[in-house]
Amino acid sequence: MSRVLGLTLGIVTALGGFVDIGELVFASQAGARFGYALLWPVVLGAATIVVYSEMCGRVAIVTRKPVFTLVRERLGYSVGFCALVASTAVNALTCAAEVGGVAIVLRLLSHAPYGIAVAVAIVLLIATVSALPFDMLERVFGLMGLLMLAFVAAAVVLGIDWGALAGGLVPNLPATAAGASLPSFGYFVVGLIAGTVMPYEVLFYSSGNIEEGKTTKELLDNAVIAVLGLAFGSVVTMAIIICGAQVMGPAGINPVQLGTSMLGPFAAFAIPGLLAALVGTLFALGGAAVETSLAGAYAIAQFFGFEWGKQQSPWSVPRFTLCWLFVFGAAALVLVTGIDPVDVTEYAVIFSVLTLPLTYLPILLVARDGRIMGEHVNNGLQNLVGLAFFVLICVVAVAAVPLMYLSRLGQA
Amino acid sequence: MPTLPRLPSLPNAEPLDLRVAGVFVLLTLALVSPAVPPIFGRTGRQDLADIASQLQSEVREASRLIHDRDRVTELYFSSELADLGIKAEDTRGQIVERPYEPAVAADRTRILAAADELSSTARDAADAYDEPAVLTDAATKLTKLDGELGALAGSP
Repeated sequence: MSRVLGLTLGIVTALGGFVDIGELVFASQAGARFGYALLWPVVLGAATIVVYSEMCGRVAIVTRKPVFTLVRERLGYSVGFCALVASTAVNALTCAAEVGGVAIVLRLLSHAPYGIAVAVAIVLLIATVSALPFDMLERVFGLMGLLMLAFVAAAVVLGIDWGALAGGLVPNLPATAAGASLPSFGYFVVGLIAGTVMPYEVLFYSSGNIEEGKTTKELLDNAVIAVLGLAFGSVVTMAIIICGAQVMGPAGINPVQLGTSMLGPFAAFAIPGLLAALVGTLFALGGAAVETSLAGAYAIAQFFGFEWGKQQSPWSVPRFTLCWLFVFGAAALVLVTGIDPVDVTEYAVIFSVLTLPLTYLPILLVARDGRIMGEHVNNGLQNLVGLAFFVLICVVAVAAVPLMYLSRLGQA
Repeated sequence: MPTLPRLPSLPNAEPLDLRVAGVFVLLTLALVSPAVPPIFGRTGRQDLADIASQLQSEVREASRLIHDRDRVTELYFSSELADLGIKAEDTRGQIVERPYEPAVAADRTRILAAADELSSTARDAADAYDEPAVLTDAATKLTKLDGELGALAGSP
């Protein structure tokens, strides 16, 4: 019974923590601009993160080595250090975007000035990370993030076009993506995939398996949680696209603000839908901010080999604590400039270009190494799928920035 | 009150191979380089059409909020409309700061005026959740702005 409970908690936690600010705004825009045509990149991105989360979780359980220990071992100190610098920049920028998103939601709930909302968000998040151990952090943000299901309910109530949905799940090029809009379509394809496979996801997942002390007896649980939790999470992203297609597209609204993404839930359920979506978003973005700050600290600690762990008191792992405080501090500095948090996610994509392949390659190399993994080594199919998704990650990494500018940030 | 232990030097630090770091920096610059020309370029007709299109989208969101006022909380209504006003003002600031092609001067002036109008209308409406007369006036202004921006964006 406790195993079923643990599995259920793992799945809902992964589900609740799937969506971040970039995905929320990006998916709304994708739906408003191209209707259901951009559902397939979400499926592709989800499949990639499922495969690599299972793989890095398995590697962590079997070898007790998290991602950035592997990066250093497999790529050497200098290449690994460059990957660490880029990864830390991505984590700090993503954390800034998420904290800014939390502040925007606090403002939408309270009408507080944005600057004060940012300060409150930073203080609340640091206090929460300081006070709660790893498993509680995961559950609080994951379970409250389930209110994001308001977007799924809204998509259903607004009326899903099931034929268009089925068509959107197959790679396609809609008529609205012709001519000048083609780079924008490509930009949204790449952005939706990149947003799902941001490096912090595997850094956090792999370290989490070690934090929770999982053993090889729990490898099946690791696979079930990765597959079901992340697959259900992608359903929320698809629902946000559908809300964009049903409400914003026909109204000629191209959402560039976080608050605009709430049009679907309030169109479907009025104030209760709006409040559920806002609170769900608050916890989903708060969870993502916590994940990015800890992922940054995990990466630095694992690369340099000092003690880390959120299950321990902050005082007993002082350097690790300083590292996640550093990520929050860097995020605060970014937000003090007054930059729009949604714009920050665009800059995070630029820095993720180099770190994406360097983060994912060592996971694949170790997972297919029978001398290290023993009986838990990748089988032929896992190697093939892992390699195919690694190629996809490389293509996304190379195409992201040129498409970003060819499409004028998707506005062309 | 617990005290922090002194931090020893990093256990596994090694000298960095500067050739690897150099290649990494060059790769980063190469990938980011497509961003440079748009930053220094002058505002042209297509840029203005894009801006008009985005402003038109914001006008439509403001209209939608006013129309659906009963379906949202007062706090959300006020904050979102005020943020739309701030965003329009930011857009105006960006247009003013950037050099432009002489041929687009007239359209640029019209878009600046439209951004100004959207900013003030959205901010006025943000504080008028319980004032139907103000909201009706704002809705009228927004409908007019929608048409003007649509013409500038080349969209219906």
